[in-house]
Amino acid sequence: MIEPKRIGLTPLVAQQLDELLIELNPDPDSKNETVKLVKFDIYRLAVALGIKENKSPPALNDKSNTVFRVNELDPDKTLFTVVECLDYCPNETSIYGYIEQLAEQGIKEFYEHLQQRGELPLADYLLDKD
Amino acid sequence: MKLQELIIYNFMPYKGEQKINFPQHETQNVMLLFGDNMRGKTSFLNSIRWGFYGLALGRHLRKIPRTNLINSIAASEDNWSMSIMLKFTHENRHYELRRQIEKKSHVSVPKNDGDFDETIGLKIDNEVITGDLIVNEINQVTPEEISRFFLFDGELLQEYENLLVEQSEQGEKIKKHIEQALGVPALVNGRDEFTSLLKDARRTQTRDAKNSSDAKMYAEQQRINESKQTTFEKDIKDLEIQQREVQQDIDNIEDLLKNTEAVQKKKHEVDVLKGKRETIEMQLDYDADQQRKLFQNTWKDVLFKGVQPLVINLKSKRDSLLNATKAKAVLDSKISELHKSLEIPICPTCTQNIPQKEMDCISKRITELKAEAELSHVNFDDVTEINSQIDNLSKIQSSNEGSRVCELVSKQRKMQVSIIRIETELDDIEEEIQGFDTDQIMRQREKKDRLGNQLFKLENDIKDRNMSLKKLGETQAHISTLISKSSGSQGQSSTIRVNLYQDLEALFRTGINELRDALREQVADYASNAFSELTTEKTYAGLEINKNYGLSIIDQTGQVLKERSAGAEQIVALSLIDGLNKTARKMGPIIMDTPLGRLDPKHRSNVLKYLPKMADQVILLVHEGEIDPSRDLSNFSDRIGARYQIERISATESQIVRSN
Repeated sequence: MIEPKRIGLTPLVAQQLDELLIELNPDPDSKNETVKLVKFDIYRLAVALGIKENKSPPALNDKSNTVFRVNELDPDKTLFTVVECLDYCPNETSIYGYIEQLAEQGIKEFYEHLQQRGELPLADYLLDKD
Repeated sequence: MKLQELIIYNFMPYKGEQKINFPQHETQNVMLLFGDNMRGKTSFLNSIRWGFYGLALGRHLRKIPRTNLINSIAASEDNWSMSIMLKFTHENRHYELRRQIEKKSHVSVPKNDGDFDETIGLKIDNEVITGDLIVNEINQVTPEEISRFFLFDGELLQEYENLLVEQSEQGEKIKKHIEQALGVPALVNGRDEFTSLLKDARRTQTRDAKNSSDAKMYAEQQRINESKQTTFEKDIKDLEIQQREVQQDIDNIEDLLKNTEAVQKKKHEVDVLKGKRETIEMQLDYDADQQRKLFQNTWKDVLFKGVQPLVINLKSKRDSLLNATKAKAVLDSKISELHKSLEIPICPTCTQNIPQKEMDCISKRITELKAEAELSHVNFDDVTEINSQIDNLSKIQSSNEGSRVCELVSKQRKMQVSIIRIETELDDIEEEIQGFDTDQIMRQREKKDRLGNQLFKLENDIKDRNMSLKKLGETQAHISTLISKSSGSQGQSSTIRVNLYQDLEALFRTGINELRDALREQVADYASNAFSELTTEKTYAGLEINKNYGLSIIDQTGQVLKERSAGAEQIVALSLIDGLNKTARKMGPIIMDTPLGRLDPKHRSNVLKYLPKMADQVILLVHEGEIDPSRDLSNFSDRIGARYQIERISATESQIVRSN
């Protein structure tokens, strides 16, 4: 399977990612807050959560905007290795294609949670359920 | 002097006419006027003061403007007339004093004192007194200077404590009033007159000396000194004006601050709460940054947890492969040994030939072992691949970012709850102080501090100038003596005058000191007598007076009592008032507003027993917290000649009614 050099999100979810960033980053007027999150931070977390929870993401329902170079998103191929090792990836899908699907699904869920609860349920995502 | 009748008309809370008859009996000489706070006791006191002197005093002994003296309801009905009629006797003569203010005819709504006309009328034994004579007559009966000691506000008794504080500005003021009442100014004025005459005489002497060859040089020095003296005197006058203005500003601010004490307290709470909120908000911002920093690597923590089962699985798979490899090696060794037996069929132990039957079994065993070894075959590329995967997955490390983010989230929640609590509290307080310009109050407080510094500087400047003036005076006196001794000036009329005025000024100066000493001694004697009757602590030896007329309690060992209670302070102040009253004038009425506020029941009882002896007439303006009509009156009921009550009609209107 040929691996793509760029992956991304569908336009709708890309917009949702932008909104998530606005929500998670400090107010532009804030003088005391300096650390800012970038799109990669949320993208990677969405993929990691998808892997941890053994999700089976559907194929993208729209064309990907392919804005992320995989070399920048996954410079040491960590995500690639994990997906490859787990062997979840269907034969007809490339590893990065599968990662893109995991990100699409995860970011969509983040956005929905944010809409429903007004904040990201980080404890649900990050703490071990047992 | 004995008060007979007071008729109040439209004065402060008293709308319309109110008539009060004072007790005339020699022993039943106490009048009680009961009234709750804010009903008009101090206004009653002010009505008498205004009737006599045209002056009503508010806080800081400041004059109350005329517009505030007229009953507000009457004023709202466009009745701008107010009057006080006082009937009294003095040395067997009957006086009727009436003072009135009326809005000027061309003024629609008066705004300041100038918008009123004041008229004063006095009849003595039905004979009308006119013009300036009226004030002279009043001053002969009851001079304004001593009014402080027969018309006094008990709440201000504490002020007398300032007399014990060296260099206290307030103490200096009170001392001045005391000396006015005691007549010291008569001598002080005499000395000042001679100082002024001496100054003129020296000027003439200097002028004369200019024509004398041997005194010419002194004359020039004297001229320069005189010019310096004028400058110093002008400076002192200007500085004193400034000092009064600054003090007035401070008093005004103090009034404002006193009235807004509760608001200031609340404002302070607001500031503290806002400070707390700011600290929490800063912590929240800091934590939010920390949270985002952790968030950047949280995906690794999640991935680490996600791949752990896989790593375990891979390690187990690798172990199985390695075990299989070991098992195959063992099998291969066994097969090799069995092959050797087939090739040389002699038993290594007994060296006999192995039977064919046994040889068949060995062949069969070799086949079985080969099959088993075939099954244990391991492809080493697989092991290498697994090792590589394990290495790659082991590179994913966690610093527990996930749970640290969650801890921060939980901390953030708690802090947000604290902020909500603070904001609720802030809303409540801000609603309470709504309508008050708290920033303005705070600015006034700062202004007061600045003015305090300014006042301190002015006081020092005045002291410096006075010191310089004193030194200059000594130099002038010395030069004047030199001029007097010079041959040309001896026997000249100007020199004779200088010598005379110098002697007279010195005489008055000595006289002032002697008078002061004598008066202090007398005040101390009277006050000590009063104190021995008023105090409940009978072991005290008496009172000691200082040069400011401040009184200290002397204990049984002759030592000054260092610490005294608020009640003791009030008893001492009352003793001082009695001492001053008896030293300053013949017996007359005393009108006291809230005199028993800080006394315990025993002291109160002593004071009530003593008060009828303090004056011919004693008028007490009290509330029921000071004198309980059902309990405290039994001690001196035989001394009560009249009893009145101030009744509330509305928030701005009261009336005085006689009660049994």
